[in-house]
Amino acid sequence: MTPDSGDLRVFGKNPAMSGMLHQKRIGYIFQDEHIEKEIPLSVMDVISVGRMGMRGIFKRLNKIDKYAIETAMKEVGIYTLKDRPAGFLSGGEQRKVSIAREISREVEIVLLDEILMNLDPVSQMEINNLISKIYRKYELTIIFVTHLLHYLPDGINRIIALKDGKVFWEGKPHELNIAILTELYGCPKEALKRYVGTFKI
Amino acid sequence: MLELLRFSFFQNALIGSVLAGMGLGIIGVWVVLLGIPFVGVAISHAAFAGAVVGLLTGLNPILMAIVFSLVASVSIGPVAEKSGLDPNISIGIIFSLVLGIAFLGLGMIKGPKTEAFNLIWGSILTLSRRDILTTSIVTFIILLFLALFGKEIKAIFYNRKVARASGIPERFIFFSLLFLSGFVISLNLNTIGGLLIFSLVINPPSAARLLTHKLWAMYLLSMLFGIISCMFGLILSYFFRVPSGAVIIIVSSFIFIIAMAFRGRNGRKFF
Repeated sequence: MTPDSGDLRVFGKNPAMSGMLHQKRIGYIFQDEHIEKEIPLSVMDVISVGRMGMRGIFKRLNKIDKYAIETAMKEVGIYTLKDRPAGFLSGGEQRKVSIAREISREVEIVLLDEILMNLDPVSQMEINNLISKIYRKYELTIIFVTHLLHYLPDGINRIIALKDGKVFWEGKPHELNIAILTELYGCPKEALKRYVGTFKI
Repeated sequence: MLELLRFSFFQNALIGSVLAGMGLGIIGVWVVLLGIPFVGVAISHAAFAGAVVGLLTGLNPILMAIVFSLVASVSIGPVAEKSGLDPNISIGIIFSLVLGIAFLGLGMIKGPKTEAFNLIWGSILTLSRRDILTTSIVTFIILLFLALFGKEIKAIFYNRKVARASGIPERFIFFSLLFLSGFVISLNLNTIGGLLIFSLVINPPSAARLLTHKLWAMYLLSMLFGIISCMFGLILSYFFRVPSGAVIIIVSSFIFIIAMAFRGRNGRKFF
C-alpha cells in the first residue's frame, strides 16, 4: 500500500517496508464479499481461508487452526452451519462468515468496509450487535466505515468524518450533531433529519 | 475388441485419453471456478497461430504452438491487471490477436496446410509415444501443483481479494494456474484439437459442479467425465471412422445434459 501523498504508518512503521508482518495483524472485511451460489466450498472451508494465509504455504491447517476457526464460528453463532454449502447462506450469515474468518486470525485491527450494505434492517442490527460484542470481548481496534448513520454499533470511541479525501470532523459520538452533518453532506437539514430519524442527536 | 489392445497405436490412444481427461478435467475446475472459462479458447487458438508461424518460418510447429500458447497464458493476468479490466476482456483481446496472426499466416503459407489444420482437428488415433510422454509429464506437474498448493487454490476460488488480504500469495497462485492451464491445453492439442478442446475444458467441470457441493468431488468427477468422453471418442471414431474430437465433444455435452437432468429441484445436489 502506497499513499498518494504524505507518510503512512501502521504500528509505528511504514507498511511498505514491513509487508507481511503487518498483514498478519490487520483484518479486512470487504464491501462486497458475496459468495457465489454454486461454489463447491463449505462454510468451514471459506472461514478457513483466514488461517491459511497465517499458516503459510506447504503447511496444512493443524489442530490449533481448527480450534481457532471453530471458536470463531461459535462466537458469531454459525457453528451449526459449518458443513453447509457456503453459497446457500443469507446475506447476514455471509457477513457472519466474514467476521468469523477475521476473528479466527487473531488480528489486532479490523477494517470493516460498509459491511451493512445490502442487508435487511434486522440483519443490520444483528451485525451491529455482534460487532459491539466482539469489540468488548477481544478489545480489538475496529475501524467501521459506514454511510448508515442511523445504524451505528454501540461503544464507538471516536468518529472521523471524511470529505473530499480530508478529515472534515473528528470527535466523540455525542458531539456529532445535525449541523455538522448538514455541512458534511451539503444537503438540507430537513432531508437529513428525516434520514437519520431515530439517531439520537 | 480386446485384440485392439495389442496394437501400440491403440494403447497410445487409450493412455492419451486418460491423460487428456485428467489434465483437462483439473484445469477445467480451475478456469470454471475462477470464472474465466474462455481461457481455453484463447490458448488453443494461440497454439494454432504458433503452429502456423512455425510452418511459415520453418521452425518446429508443435514447439511454436507450445511457445505461443504459453505466452498467451502468461499475458492474460498482467494485461488484466494493467488495464484494470476483467480477465475475460483481456482473454478476448488476446484471442482476437492470435486469431489475426493465425489467419494472416494461413494466407501466406504456400502449398498444403494440413500440418496446421491437424492441430485444429486433432486425432487421438495418431498419438506417438513421445506425445504420451510429454502429456504424462505435464499431467504429473499439475497434479503436483494441486497437491502442494491445494489450500491456496481453494482460497482464491472463494475470493481473490480476501485471499490476498489474508496473506496468501494470491497473484503467484492465480498466474500459475493460468500458465499451467496453457501448458495442459497446448500439449493436448494433438489429441482433441484446438477448435474443440474448449468443450473438454468446460463441460466436465460444469457437469461435476451440478452434482456436488464438495471441491474434491468436483475434481474427481470432472476428471472422470473427461476420461469417459475421451474413451467414447476413441472407440466410436475407430469403429465408425468419424473424427475423434467431434465425438469427444458430443459425448461430454451429453454428460452435462444428463447431469442437469439428475440434479434435484431447488439446486439440491447429491453430496
